[in-house]
Amino acid sequence: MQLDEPRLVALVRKGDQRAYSELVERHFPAIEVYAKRIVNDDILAQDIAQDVMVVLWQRSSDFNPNKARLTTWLHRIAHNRCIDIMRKCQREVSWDSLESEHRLTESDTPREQQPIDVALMRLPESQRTALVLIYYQNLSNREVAAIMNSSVRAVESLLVRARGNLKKQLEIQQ
Amino acid sequence: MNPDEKSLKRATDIITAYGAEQRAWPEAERAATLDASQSSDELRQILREEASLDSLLKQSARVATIDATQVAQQIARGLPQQLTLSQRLSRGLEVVAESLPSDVWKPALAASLTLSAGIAVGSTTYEPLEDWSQAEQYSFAVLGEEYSDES
Repeated sequence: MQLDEPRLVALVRKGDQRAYSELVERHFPAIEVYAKRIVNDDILAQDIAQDVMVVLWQRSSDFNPNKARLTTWLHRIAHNRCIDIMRKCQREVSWDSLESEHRLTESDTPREQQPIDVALMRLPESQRTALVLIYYQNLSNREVAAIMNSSVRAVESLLVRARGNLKKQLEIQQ
Repeated sequence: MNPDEKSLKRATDIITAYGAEQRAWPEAERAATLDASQSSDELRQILREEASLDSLLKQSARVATIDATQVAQQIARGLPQQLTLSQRLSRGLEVVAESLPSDVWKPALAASLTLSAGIAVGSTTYEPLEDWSQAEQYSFAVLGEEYSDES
């Protein structure tokens, strides 16, 4: 029988390693993929995902199950880590290059990346984050707003712009 | 804007923001968006465009590659938990309680909890109202003034 997450977190607070392993197995893959889509660097993304799991182990008492789902709390930590790292490394690709009518071609696509992954990386960070959290991470608009410290209306505006920019890049008829 | 136009406008906003897949639409507005999309040619066209983008989004090749079980073991075995004072006290008391017979540990636990709470409250909330380190100087100052007045 699977224990619910607030119960597992309560056990983690008491130092229960089995409960912790259960939570890491449930959440680590999603956080790792999320970080990969945001920072576009596998090693950095793995470091970020591990950092998030360290926070879950060391500071699980900061999580309040009455305020949010565990996945929302973990994504918020991951989001903040991604922002910190991107600011530090200045890895974000400038949107300006797309403004000059640049279109994706096969030669632009790094090895092993799909054109959609390249197009996503060319979105401004906030648009990419909103789209990834809604579409790939299956979070609700309210959860995304909480993670991004924003409003639902602002998130929807980011989503419209993100999808519009992707259609432009990928030349989908509008 | 009449109610029909309003619901059509909102359905357009939802589809252009969340895409063509109903699972991504806000749950409370899912049924209304579906109804609106079936009654408008314009919305059906928007749905087709967004569905094309959704199918491209599905082609993303990002996957998780790290073994989560190994990560959990490394972290839990290698790093201490950062516990608050109350958590440390509670864990300590649990250990003591387990090592004592049941007729002894309950009163002992009650006494320790009361004592711990008192220490915790006292050590975190105590603030002296006055700076008594200067009290002796004040006393001498008063005496000194009186003495000098007399002379």
